[in-house]
Amino acid sequence: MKSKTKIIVAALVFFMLGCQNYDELVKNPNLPTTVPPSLLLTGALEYMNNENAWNGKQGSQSAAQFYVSTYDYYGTNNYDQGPFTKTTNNFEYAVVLQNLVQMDIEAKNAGKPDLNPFQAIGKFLRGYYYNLMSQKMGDLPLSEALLAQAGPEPKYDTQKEVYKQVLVWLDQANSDMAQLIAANDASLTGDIYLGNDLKKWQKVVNSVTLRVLISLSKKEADTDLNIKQKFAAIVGNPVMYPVLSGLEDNLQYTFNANYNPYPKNPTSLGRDGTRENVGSTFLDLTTTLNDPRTFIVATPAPSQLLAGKVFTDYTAYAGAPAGLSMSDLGVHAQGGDYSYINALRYSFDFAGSKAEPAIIIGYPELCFNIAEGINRGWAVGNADTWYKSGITASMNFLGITEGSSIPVGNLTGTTTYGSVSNISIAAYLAQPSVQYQGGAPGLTQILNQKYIAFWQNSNWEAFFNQRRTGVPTFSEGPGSGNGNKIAKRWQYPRAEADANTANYNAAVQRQFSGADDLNGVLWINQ
Amino acid sequence: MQNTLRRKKGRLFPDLRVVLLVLLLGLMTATSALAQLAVAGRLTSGEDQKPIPGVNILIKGTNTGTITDADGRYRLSVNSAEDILVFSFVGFVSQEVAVGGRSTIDVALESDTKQLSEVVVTALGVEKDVVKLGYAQQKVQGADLVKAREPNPLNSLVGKVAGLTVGTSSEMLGRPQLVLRGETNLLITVDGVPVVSDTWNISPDDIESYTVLKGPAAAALYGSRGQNGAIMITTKKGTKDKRGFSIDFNSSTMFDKGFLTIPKVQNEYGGGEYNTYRFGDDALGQAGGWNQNDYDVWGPRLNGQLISQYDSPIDPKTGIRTATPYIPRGKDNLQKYLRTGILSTNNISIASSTEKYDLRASVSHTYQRGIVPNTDLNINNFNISLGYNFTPRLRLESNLNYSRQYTDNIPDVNYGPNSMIYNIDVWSGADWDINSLRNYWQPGKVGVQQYNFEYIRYNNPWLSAHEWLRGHHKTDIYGYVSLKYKITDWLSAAVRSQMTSWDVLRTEKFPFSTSAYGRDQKLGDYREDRRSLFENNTDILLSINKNITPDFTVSGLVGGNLRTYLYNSSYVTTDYLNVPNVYNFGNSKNPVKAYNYTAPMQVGSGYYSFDFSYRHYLTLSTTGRVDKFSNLPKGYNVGFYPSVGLSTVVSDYVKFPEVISFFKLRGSYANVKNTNTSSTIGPAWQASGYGNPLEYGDVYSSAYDGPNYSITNPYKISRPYNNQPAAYYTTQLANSKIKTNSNATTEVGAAMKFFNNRIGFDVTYFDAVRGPSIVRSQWSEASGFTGGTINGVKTEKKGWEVSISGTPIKNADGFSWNVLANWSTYVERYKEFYDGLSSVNGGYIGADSRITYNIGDRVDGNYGYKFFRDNSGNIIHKSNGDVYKDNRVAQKLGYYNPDWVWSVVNTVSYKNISLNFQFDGRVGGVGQDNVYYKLLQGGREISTVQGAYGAARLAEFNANPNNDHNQAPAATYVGQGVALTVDSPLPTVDPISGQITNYSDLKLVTNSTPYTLQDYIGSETKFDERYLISKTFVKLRQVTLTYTIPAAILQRMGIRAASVSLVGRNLLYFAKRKDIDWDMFIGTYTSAQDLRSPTLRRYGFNINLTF
Repeated sequence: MKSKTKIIVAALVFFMLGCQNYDELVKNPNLPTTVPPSLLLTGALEYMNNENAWNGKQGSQSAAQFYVSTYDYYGTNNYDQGPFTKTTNNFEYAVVLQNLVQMDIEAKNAGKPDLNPFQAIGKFLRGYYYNLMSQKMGDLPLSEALLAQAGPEPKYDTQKEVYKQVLVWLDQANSDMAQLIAANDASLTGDIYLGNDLKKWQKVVNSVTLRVLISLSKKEADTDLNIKQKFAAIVGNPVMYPVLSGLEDNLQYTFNANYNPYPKNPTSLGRDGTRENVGSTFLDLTTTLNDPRTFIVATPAPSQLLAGKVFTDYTAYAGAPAGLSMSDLGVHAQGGDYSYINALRYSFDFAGSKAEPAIIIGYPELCFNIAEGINRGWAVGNADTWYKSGITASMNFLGITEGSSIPVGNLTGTTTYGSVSNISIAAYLAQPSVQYQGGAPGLTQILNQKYIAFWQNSNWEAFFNQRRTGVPTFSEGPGSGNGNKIAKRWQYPRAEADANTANYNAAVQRQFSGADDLNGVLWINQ
Repeated sequence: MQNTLRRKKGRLFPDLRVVLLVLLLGLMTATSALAQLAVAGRLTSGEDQKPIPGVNILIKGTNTGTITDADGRYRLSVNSAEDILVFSFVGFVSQEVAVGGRSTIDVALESDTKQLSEVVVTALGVEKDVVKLGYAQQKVQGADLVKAREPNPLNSLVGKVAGLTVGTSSEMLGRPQLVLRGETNLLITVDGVPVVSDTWNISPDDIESYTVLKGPAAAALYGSRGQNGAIMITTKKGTKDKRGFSIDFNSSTMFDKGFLTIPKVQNEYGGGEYNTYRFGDDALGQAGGWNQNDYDVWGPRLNGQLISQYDSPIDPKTGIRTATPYIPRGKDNLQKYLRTGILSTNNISIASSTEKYDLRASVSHTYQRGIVPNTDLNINNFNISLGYNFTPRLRLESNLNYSRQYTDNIPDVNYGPNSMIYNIDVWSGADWDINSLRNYWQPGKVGVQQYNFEYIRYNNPWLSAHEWLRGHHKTDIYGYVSLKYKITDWLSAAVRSQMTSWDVLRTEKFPFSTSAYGRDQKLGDYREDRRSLFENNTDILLSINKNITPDFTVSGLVGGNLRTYLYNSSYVTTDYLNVPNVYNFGNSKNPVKAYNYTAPMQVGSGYYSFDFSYRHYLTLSTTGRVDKFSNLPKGYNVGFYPSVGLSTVVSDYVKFPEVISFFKLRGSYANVKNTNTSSTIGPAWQASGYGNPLEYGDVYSSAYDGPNYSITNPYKISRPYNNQPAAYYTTQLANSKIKTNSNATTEVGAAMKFFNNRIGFDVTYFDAVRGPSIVRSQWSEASGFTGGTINGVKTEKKGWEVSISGTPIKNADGFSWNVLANWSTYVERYKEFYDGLSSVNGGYIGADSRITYNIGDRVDGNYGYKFFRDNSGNIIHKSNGDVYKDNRVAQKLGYYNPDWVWSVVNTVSYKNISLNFQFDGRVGGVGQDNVYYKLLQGGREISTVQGAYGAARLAEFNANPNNDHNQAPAATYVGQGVALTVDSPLPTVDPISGQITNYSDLKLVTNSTPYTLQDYIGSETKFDERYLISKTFVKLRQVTLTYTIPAAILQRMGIRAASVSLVGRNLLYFAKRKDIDWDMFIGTYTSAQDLRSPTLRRYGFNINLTF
């Protein structure tokens, strides 16, 4: 009888195990394991807008004090919270840089030659994102990063090494693009910003290079980085290094009602429109300078109107100081002491049809960067011209032209007080306070104007520039958290301390005497 | 050898041919019979003369026999007067009686005092004598659970089994959370075969009994699926009625009325901020209003002063609203909105049994009317089972169950504008009257614009009930056919094929103008979530039961199983609608968003189980199972899962004092690995790895038990910009050498009986080592991945389960008292991480990502923010009177799991009346109470108008009685504690411990600086400690008072048995806070981070008739 059992069991096992193809069933039928490179490019490009206009409490725009939360429930103006503090995902490595590695692999899989538009833009994006990450944190794993090995513990390269490589990537991207353009390569697809036009991308690349060089201004004496020379080379050779030549060259994110609705809209207006006010850091500048961008951005403060001021009066506009405690901000906001964000413009509809696109890198910044470089003596040229071009471009970008008028309404846009008309850019530029003074005061003017032009765009540039130069002065206090101070950097992601301990400790020791400190000063800012 | 083999083969195959022949010829073969003599009789217990049902009667030397019915009666045909009948029953001494020509043979069986008379169903449906089991199990009679009903049958298991905790959801169609020894992934079987069920398709009236197999040792025969134990359901078959047929009718009607838990709210202040509010002058309240959108309940005092409100008339001349008295007209809005719920269940079953067959057909209907208007649920259930004895050797058994659950609308109470608790209690005040909103469309804007008290964030609750509809339509079918053939008297073979199949369609109609998170354009939507599952299990098995010597018995089985599985789902949603009220994908404004997911799987298995028994008192059991999975890579897809058990009845060979009538020891060990499957699955977007296209509401998860795909590195494709596709590479690197998670459990137990088996005591200790499981290892993100899939993390769980049952009182005049008490506890700790790490961030081990866990830490730590305090425990404030809250670090607040869980079930009977009542509860554990938290933040919590809060609130209102929104609010609340002086250095906080490191430098004085109450509470509630609540509670779970109508009265009416009961469920609830029912929050990581419906008492009556 035992044999009988054996036979049955043997038959059974054969029948059980042999039924379907196990090799087929093990595969995931729901997701692809290979894709065209263009899909990866689209993802990596879209991510460039990741922390741009109106991007939430302690996002780039509120950290730079363009607007302030005055309502505790919906968020504070603290700097001791995300994104500055340790998170589980603060590096761009996994979310975008690994995708650039995959883009190269997939381009190869698709039979593309080594020199192709995807790898050229890939180099640019590596430079772009490493710059962004290093601005946030400091030293970074670079030479040992993205090596696709299991259980990796990459060492950190110094911030200087990171920037050397960033500049190499940007330079290579420029020359690769030049070659592709010369060969009339039109194989780029997946671009969501510039119509797959490599010529426009080349301008963006060199403009970003200038942004990076300016951000290293405190290291202008560093002979390895050669900042001044590189800056002069780009500004002096527009054929080899074409840069943005007008607003039409901006790299910018355009909203639409169907798929990418504007972050502010009629519904969010009813919700947080009354709980957010324009920051005093911004409005103090524009109202002092009689800057018509005041009317673009803000509504008059209700208590100022009650006190009899008219909406055309710059002194009717008052920003909220981000450093005040939430209770103080809430109480003052309830009392009508602060200007609100201009609902007529920014909450008009879901398409943001009256608002401006979100610039990632734009012409006004380029103008101010060149003006700053000339002011610093890095290149030959007329800083005043670039300064005025930057202001004019910024105004134009916001829809202000010579003689134009701007409607002004209340906080919900339900009441329109009228329009400020006959605005003159020329008159604005002619004011003594605006006229370029050269030297150190001129630099401050350039930086203030750059800050104003960064209103709701260019991700973290306003914050980085202020941190580098101290211009304009940020509001600090109990509302800042972090011991009443503005954070100077981001902490490294949580995983570093646990999974890359030795290298992390070495990097933190080298830079900040051992503490992964929000208030540590980056090497580039020393 | 060759010869022997061939010869034996020769004998085997004719046997199988006979099987087939019999199958084909069916009744023809079966009806051929000899001339026979009929014998009948009654079996009683020699001890108390009560009838014994289920006694086995065999004609000696044959396989012909029968069993006794419920009254102990039997009827049997014998071939000749020389036949000897063998009467045997577990717990009694067997007797042999010669027929000798008699037609009536009554037998009194003497009880074998050394034995327990209990047979239980074990894995694969094999019945075993409980004394031979080496592991813990507990049985619950289905009849105990059909009087005081629950919408879901498994809710009724609360408190019935030590170690099994049931979290009964307060929501309609809410799935009960079943936690057995801390594990939620439990196998459910019907008649021994696994089903993939959300348990709504099980009709309690069809259930004979539940047996809970408490750990892997008990369920190892199911292989990976039995890793955490199993709930085995045995269905009713045939009838025990001596007439050979019976008709049963069971009906119960219950009402949900009387709140057990409901948030306590203040009705003195309305909606708004800082005591000011005005609804604007246009239809949506925007023009000239203030604090009228998405407000808190920090508005003006409801004093009857004139304020423009949502229903204040607009002066046709000025276009301005005429202010109306501001009064607490909506103080019971939630109570007025909710209605009495009804739960009505009716079942009728017909059963028939003869020697040849047993048949039972049953139809059940459950109707539940929800407490939320316009919500209901219907369940239709058909069940038919047939057993047929073709010959004494060949038996067919079959069962088919069809269940249809359907509703056009169930509520969604999850946090958000979809939730009635959110709209009525948390974020709005008593200033609006819910009855004034019954006409929920604005005049002339039917279907387009709702009429409400607020128009940006909140919704009219009636609109939500009648227009925002969530349908659920599900069909469940399971069934099996099995053939058993008795080859010899000790060897039998069986083939069984079973299938589970279900299809569900969930729909959501989202009307125009309705607010929901993420759907700001308010242009309506329609969604369909379709899922289907099919599973087939085919088993072939051989079983033996042989006495090798008179003292030594071997019983066991060898078998194989093929599991074939396919799951499919799709999820489609519009992206706004063009035309209101047309819920069709063709009406989508933007392209529809569609997702689908498919998951085929196959598992082939071979298994064995053997019990070696010496006499009655020593049994060694061993089982083993080999599974081969299709969802794991070659070389890693075969697993072997062994178990061994030993049980010994010590009282059989050791003399104990008289009082101890039985003493058994048992021990077992099993090591079962899972197969990288998931027990539940979400919508298709989630299943295939995409983010939620919605930002609100419940994400429905259904029973799955299907594959996880984690051995390839995929791309995900989404449309991030302007509908253009983009791809993203995985952020977690896959691993094709992954091993599955194991559960190695050792358990020991003892069962004792006292006073002639009157009182039973059972205790179990278990030690379960789980892991290494499959986790995401923590990598430097600079690798390009946030981590890799690896094997790691071991935990060890130790626990105790105690059960006491018995009949303390039973006397001759009909009074008896039965009691069952259960108690259980366990603690689970990290035992090992990976790569030799002694600490790991919680984010990588499925725990709190803010915390670093060390080896030895409990896995159920509840972490959150604690106040900064001085050395005397006073809360530290900033110099401006605000709570100090910079640089908070999460710290341990306690543990989620209860210290222990208990229940006591009593049944007191006197003659025809029986009273059953159950208390149960959980002791220990802490959780964040989200309802409390949100009510505090919103200013609606009752305590915001009481004590110091209330005084400050009144003072702040009195500072601005005229609702002047241009007046800066007054600050009057002084938080209790100490404050930093203006010149004090600020605290520095250790980023790991969260403790202040420069405490000695701080200059602290008693806080005296007033702060606005609204902002103070806003600050306070940023600390979890503020709304942390003990999870301890006690419930009077059930009371049933049953009157069994005497048979004499019934006979004239043609009714054989009848009982009526008054029944109640969830009648009393004792807990520290009663705004939420802690009953539903169990398990390791569950707090109360969401809103829930109030819970109500349920009471009614039950009628049970047998014809």
